[in-house]
Amino acid sequence: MDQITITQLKESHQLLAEFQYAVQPVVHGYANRTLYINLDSNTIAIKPVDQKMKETFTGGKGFCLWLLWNAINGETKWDDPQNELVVAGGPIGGITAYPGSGKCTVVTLSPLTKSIIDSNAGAYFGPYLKFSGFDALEVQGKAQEDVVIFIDGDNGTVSIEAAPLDEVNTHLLSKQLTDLYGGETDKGKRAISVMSAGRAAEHVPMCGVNVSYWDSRRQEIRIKQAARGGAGTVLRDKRIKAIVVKYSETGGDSNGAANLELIRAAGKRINKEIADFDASQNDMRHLGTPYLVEIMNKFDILPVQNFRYGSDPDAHKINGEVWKSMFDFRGPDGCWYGCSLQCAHAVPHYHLQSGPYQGEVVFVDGPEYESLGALGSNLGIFDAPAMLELCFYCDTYGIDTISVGNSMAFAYECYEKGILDKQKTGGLELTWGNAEAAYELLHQMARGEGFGVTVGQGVRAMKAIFAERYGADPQQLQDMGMEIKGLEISEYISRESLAQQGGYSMASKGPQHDEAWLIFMDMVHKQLPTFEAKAEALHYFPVWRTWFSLHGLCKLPWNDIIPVSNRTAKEPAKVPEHVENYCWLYEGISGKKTTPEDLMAQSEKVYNFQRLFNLRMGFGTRQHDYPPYRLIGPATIEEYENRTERYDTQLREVIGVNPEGKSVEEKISLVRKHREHQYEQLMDAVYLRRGWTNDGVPTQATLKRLGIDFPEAVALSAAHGG
Amino acid sequence: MLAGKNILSLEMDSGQSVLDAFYRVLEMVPALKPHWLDHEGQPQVFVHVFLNGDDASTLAQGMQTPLHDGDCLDFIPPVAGG
Repeated sequence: MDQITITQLKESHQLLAEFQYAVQPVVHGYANRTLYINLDSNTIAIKPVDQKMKETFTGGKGFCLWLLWNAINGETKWDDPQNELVVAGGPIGGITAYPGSGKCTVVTLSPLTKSIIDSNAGAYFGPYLKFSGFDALEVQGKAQEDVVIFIDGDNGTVSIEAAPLDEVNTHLLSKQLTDLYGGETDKGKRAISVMSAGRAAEHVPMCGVNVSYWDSRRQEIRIKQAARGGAGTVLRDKRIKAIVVKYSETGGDSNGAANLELIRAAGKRINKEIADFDASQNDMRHLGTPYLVEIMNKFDILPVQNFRYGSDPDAHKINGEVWKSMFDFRGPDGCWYGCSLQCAHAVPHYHLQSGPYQGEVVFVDGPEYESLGALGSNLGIFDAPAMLELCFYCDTYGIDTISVGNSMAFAYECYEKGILDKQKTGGLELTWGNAEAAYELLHQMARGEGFGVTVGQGVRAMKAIFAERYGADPQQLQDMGMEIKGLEISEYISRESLAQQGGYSMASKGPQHDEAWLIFMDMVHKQLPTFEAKAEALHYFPVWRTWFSLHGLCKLPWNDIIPVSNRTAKEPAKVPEHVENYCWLYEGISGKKTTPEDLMAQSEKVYNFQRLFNLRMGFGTRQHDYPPYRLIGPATIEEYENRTERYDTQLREVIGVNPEGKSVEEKISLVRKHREHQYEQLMDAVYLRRGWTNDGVPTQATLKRLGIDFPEAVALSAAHGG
Repeated sequence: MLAGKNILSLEMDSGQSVLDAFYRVLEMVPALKPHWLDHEGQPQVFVHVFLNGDDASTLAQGMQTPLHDGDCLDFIPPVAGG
């Protein structure tokens, strides 16, 4: 396939449908239209965006949820043609004066959780989609053959093209399509963003989408991932090889801002702060997120061996300093124009050691902290080249590093415990630190064969399979299977942070840190000493963090850089100066006077609507908000004995039981009873604060207060005791 | 690692505090001063100091907490997670 020329590729792209439209300028952040494509009938159409939709759902993830809500019903399954892949940027997204403004959110019915998933990515797709004329894209139906969808915002054309010769794996396909639609010049290639998955997305449910941009300084295709929950699997289930958007005329005012000076004022303030303090704080420009490895290890939060332990003496082999010496610093690393945080690092000239591209020299985006936790410490693999090998193949095959890392770790522990053996794994020795076995599992997922396909089904599926086929104890598997709602847990040990346990377990889509990351506030800085304080944090922060995905913004410039004004801030964890910046951004875009409460109101509507959507799909109640016990406390003897002093002290000082003379099993049981009770109390407090029933259902009064009390929403709430 | 190393041993007099140790580190590694101190020579708001794993700002005496033999101090940036 690597001998296919661009000319041959072009000739093979038979036109299946074409739609022409007039490209209109974006006004105050909105294109005021969405694009609808149905691959069953090759229909392409435009839908209007009205004022009510904007006022209720704002944009971005809010629009995605609303469009999907109208497209499916409570009986729809992820692989029904009716399911949609919905993509949107947001009204602020696409500005170039403020860092982190190029995000897009992808929403679909998840093959992993069977409910609603949202995941976001950087790169150029979100802004280009809007500048091409659409606030969102929804794709429904399934093509009869492999296709590429091409949205040409330069010429006002949308086409569905047969794509029989195109590659599937991202690193090749993105290049082919960037060359095909962008031509040979840097300007042409920079106008292209490709959304794709990879071969594994044809076989396992844990695949996300990659979103590309052309890095002209390095002459490389760069990719960012909306990795979580299976959007890539849905993409390939619809037989889409890629969705390509082209827009050449991005400028400082492409967003049609009402008050560009206000946006520039916010940008000037944050950019100076980043220039002055990033090197003194997290040094995102040189370390990116891998700086977290060392810190998480220090605080016993880094997942090691399937979340059993929180630190390892070898963690330094994959920490930030290791990557700093390998990253490619040929110019800024922003994944959207104007991003001064520049955290999107990559390693050039990596020689692949395995798989179909063995021996080739490749450019590897990342690695990010989450990938290092999932594929490194959690598997006991502390080896930088192995991290690059695993990250490269995860990306090009479309596999979510968090889900696959946790799934492999679960399988490795099952192997250690004798639930699995070489016969069951097809000869693979799943021992801690065995990188070659991890490589092979990935390649099997991409080939659709072997034990890798079982691992690729995810932790929840494996629990059922191992209990049914191999007679494993379901309770043991439940305790050590690190997933909630069917989604694998992102890479922080939360055993000593009750607030983070709630953050993970009560998150709408499943345990992803982007909704609630409270572990340092709670466990390290001890800012949340009471149930009420934790509940308030579990109201405010998930709602606030949701706001970024409504607008096409990255969260990192909010609190990965801290202003001097935080010294006197009443609530420094909220970073008030930066919240003020976001008020200026929204006011600058919309022309409406904006307060922090206005921003929260936008977000709270969507947050509660997503909970209702889960309810509609058969989830969204208290029973779905429970974590595996290992997230809460020591599930096994080895975990208890790894931190005996900590747990014995808790027994003595908090629970009021003398641990002397008790067996470890007895002590585990006592700690468990206490911690599970604490978690129940937390749920009660959080639901109350959020305006939900004790079963986790938004009440009718809450729906009315938020203005989302339309008949079907009210009926859903009422039917579930709301 | 800005200082070229990430572990330092400090010899402090009896009764000296966390804040004293903070400034002692800066005497030993002057390259850290522009990062840890503001224009008035005060510790930057974003430098978090931990004494034996506890955030010094949460201790009863805060940065004035006296040190003892074998105490471990960590200096951590403002960690925000993903």
